[in-house]
Amino acid sequence: MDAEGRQPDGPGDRSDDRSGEAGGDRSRAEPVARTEATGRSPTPTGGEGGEPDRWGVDVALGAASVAARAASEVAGAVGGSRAGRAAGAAARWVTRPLAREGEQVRERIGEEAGPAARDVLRQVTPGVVEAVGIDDVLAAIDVDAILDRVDVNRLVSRIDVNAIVGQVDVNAIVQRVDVDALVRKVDVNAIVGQVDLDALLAKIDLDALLDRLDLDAVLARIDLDALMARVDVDALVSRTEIGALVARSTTGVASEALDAVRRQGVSLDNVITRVVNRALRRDPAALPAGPPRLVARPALPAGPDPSPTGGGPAT
Amino acid sequence: MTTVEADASLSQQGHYAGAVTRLAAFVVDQAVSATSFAAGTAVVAWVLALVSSDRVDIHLGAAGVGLLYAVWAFAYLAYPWAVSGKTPGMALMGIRVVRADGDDAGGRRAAVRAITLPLGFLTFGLGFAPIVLGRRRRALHDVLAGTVVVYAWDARAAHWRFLARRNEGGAAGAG
Repeated sequence: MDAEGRQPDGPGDRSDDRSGEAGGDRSRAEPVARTEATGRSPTPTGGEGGEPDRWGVDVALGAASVAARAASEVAGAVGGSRAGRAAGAAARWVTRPLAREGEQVRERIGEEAGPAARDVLRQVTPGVVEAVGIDDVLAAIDVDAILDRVDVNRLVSRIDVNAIVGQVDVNAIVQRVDVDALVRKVDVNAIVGQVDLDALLAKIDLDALLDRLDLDAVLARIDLDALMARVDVDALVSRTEIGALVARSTTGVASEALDAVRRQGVSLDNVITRVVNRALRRDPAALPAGPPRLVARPALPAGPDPSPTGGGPAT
Repeated sequence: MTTVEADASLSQQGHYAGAVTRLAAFVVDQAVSATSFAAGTAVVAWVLALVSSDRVDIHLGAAGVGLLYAVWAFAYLAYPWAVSGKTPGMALMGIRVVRADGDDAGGRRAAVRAITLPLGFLTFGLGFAPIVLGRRRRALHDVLAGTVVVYAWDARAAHWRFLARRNEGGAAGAG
């Protein structure tokens, strides 16, 4: 505040107030005196300056510093005399408003120090980063030396993998995995193409493998009857070279005539059997088909009736 | 290779043979037996006449010839049944004689069956009636001998042969 009672309205004014320790004592005492006179807080609520809060803080801190120094000088001069104690009490009484003001300022500092510090950091950080060359810093770091100093085994040994895995919900992970999409992305042919089957087979001791294989047990588990029952032998004979072999091995008028005669005989047998069973009201399925040792196994399917008349037995 | 469900129509190999097939086999056997007997006796007579210069004149009579034929017929039937279970006529028709449980008939049963075969005729054919009416199609001589007659012909193989021949014929026609 100048002689005309104006408040400082700019940084220049504040800088003037801050300049010089001796001058500072005087200039910082003025706001305190004004505060005592007006009874208001030294912190202006709507000052003309750009940063009135800081100005108030400076004033309070300056006043506190002057008061502390004065009290220290007085206490040193007067000592522990009665007059000194009286003067000290008087001084405390006189500086009570200052103490209250200082307390308020301290509380405000506590409240506003964080945001102010963040503001400062926000303003300072870019400059610091710009000033410091990150590349230079990183280049100066010997990563290999750091890694050499790391005892990876010890680090890994301290990790409880089981505990980590135990916390993993594998089912949830698997459910989130699109196995189909994963499989579609896998080029099985490429994988198989990379496998050296010859080398792989060369490593397999087939003799040892076969020695360990109990073929009897394997065959015992195979239901050959059921297997053969599923084979369409007719299609096999008709569509493969087996049919040609069969034909060449059995071609002849005699065999063809013999087949025809037998087929006709069996056909007539079946007709008579059906008539008799119907007359005697017998269930054909309940009749024995043949001797136990000959019909214990179900016979193979004969396929469709190939006889030209269509009435031949499918025997 | 394709697969199919099991077909209900099964090969009858091993099943009891029917009357028609057995009758056809019997007719063939009788024809072969009689023909071979006649030829055999003629050959024997010719050889004897040739060797003895007609000095030997054998007259067996009807009974003698009948007895000789019976022996021949017994041998004709019993021996093949004992060896393979099938006479030439039965082989032609694809049937064979086996024990009631399916095993080979054997010599004793074959002999009994051949000896008791005429009982069917002596009973005016009633001994053959079970072939048609019986559950196991056993004639009287089958019951006495403990035998049955089954299909030995693999109709399935014949069916395959039929298919193969048909395909061969089709391929040749196309070529």
